[in-house]
Amino acid sequence: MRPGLKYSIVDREKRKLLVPFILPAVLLYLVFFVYPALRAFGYSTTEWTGFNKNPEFVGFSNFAELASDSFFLLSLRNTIIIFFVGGLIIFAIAFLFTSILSSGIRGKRFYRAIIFLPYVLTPPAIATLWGFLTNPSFGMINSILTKIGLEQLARPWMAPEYIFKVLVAAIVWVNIGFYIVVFLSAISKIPQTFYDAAKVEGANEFHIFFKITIPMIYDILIVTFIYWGIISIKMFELVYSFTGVFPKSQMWTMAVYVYIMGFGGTMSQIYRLGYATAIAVILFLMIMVFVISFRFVASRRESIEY
Amino acid sequence: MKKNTNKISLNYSRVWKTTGYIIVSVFVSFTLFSILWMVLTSLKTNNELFQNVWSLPEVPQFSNYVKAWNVLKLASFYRNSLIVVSSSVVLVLVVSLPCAYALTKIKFRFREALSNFIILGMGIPVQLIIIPLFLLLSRMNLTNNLIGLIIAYIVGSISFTVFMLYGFLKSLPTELEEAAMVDGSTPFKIFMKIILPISTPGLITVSIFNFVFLWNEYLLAMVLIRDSSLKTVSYGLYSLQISMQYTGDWVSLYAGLLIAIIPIMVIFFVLSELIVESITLGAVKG
Repeated sequence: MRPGLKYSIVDREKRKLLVPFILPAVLLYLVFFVYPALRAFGYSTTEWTGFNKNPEFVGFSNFAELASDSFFLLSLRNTIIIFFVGGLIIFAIAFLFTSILSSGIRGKRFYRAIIFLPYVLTPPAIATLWGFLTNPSFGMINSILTKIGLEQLARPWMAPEYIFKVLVAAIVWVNIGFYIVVFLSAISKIPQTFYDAAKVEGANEFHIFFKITIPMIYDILIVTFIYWGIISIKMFELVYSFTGVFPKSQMWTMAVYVYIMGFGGTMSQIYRLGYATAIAVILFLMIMVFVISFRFVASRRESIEY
Repeated sequence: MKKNTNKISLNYSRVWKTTGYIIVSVFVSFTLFSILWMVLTSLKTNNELFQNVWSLPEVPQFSNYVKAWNVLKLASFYRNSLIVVSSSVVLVLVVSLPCAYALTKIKFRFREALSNFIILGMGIPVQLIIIPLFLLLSRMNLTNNLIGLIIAYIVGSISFTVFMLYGFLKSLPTELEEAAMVDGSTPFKIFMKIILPISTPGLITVSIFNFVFLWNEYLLAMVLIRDSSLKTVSYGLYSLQISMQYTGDWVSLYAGLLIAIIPIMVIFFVLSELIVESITLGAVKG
C-alpha cells in the first residue's frame, strides 16, 4: 500500500463498488466523447468532401488555408469580440445590477426572476423576437427612440454594419441573468458583520462593493469567468438562429462556421468535413489556452492576496 | 465633521439607490414587454400584425395555437423532445451519480486524475466531436434515430453533471455512511438508502440545467436527425423560422415559440427559488 492512502475497513468495503460505479459513465464518455475528440485531430489533416467519400491526408494544409480564408478570419474576430467585449459588458452590467439588487431594494426576487428569464428562452424565439424589435420600419427600438425624441439614434439595425452589434446586445440580454443570480447567491453568504463594520467606518456603497464584496466572492468570480469563456467561445444555437433572421455571414462565429463548412448549413452545398474539423480543433485550442492561462493567472493572484 | 460625511454618504446612498432602481426597472420592463408582445402577437391575425405591430388583437386568435400544434407539427416536435430530453436527463443521472460518488467518497489511486479527465470534457466543444460522432453513430445505424440523439445528449452532459454532483457530494459528511456501515449495511444499500435521498436537491438542480440546455440544443439534432418527423422542438422551430421567409405566417410561429417555452417557464416559475438557492452548488465547492 502506498503511503498517504490509508484504507480503513469501511474504505475497503466501499471499494467493491468502484468498478461498477465508475465504468458506465467512463465507458460512455470514452467511446462516444473522448474517442471522437481524438479522431477529430486526425480528420483535421484531411481533405474530405462527404461522409460517403474517403478522407485524404493533406497534412496541415487546412490550417494554412484557414489563415487566408476571409470568412474564417471574420468568424474568428466575431468569436473574440463576443468573448471579450460581450464578456466585459456582461460582467460590468452584472456587477452593477448585483450591487443594486443586493442593496436592499424592494421586489428583489421579482427583478431577479425576470432578469434571469431570457437565459432559458429557446434560441429561435429570441432571434425571431429580436428580428421584430430591431426592424428598421416598425421595430420597437426605433419606435421608442423616435417617440422620446432621439430619432437621430435610430439606425437600420439589420444593415450589415449593425447586425453584429445587435447580436452582441442580444447575447448580453440573454446571459447577464445567469451571472446576476450566481453573484447574488454568493453575496448572500457573506457575513453581515463585514458590512456593518464598513458602514460604521463610513464606507460608501462603491467602496463596500469593491473592497468587501468582490474579494469575498473571488473564487466564484473565477469560476464564472471560466464558464463564460467556455460557453461564449463554443456558443452555437443563439448565433445560428440569428443568421436565419438577419443577413448572414457578418454574424458567423467559429462555432457556426464549423457547421456551415461541414454540413452546408442552409446556405451552401459545400461539404468539407476535414476543413470544418480543422476549425473545430482551433476552437478547442482557444478554449484550452483560455482556461489554462486564466487558471494560472487566477491562482497566482490568489496566493499574493492571502 | 464626522456627522457631515455621514450625511453626504446618506444622500449619496439614496441617489445611488434611486438611479439603480430606474436602471434595473428599464431592463426588466424591456424583458417583460418583449414576452407580453410575443403573447399578444401570437393572438393576432397576420393582417393585423402587418398593419400595426403594436396593436392589440381585435379578436384573440386561439386558432393560431391549434395551427402551430397541428399544421406546423409542434405536436410531433414536442413528443420527440419530451422523449429525447427526459430520457437523456434521467439516464445521465443514472451513470453520473454513482461515478461522482466513487470520485468523492471511495479512495483509489488515480482518483484525482480521473476526476480531472472527466471534468476536462466541459472544455471540449461539441463542434470538435460532431463529425467523428456522426460517423460512429452512422456505423451503428443510429443516425436519423432518436436513440442516437439520446446517446449524444448523455455523453455531452456527463462532464457537467459529474462536475456539479462532485461539488455537491464532496460537501456531504462521511459520518452518516460510516455509522450505517458499522450497523452492518452493505455499501450499495448505503448508497441507495442514504446517498441517493440526500442527493436529491443536487440531482434536481443539475437536471434542471440539463433539461433547459438540451431542450434548447439543436446543433447535434440538426446533424444527427434528417426526417422532419423526428425533429425536436428547437430544431423544428429553427426550420420554421427559416421557412417564414417564404410562408410569412408569423403569428403561428409566435404561437409555436410560446408553446415551446412553456415547459421551461413552468420549471422556471415552480422551481425558481430552488434554482437560485443551489445555482452556485458547483461553483462554490468545485
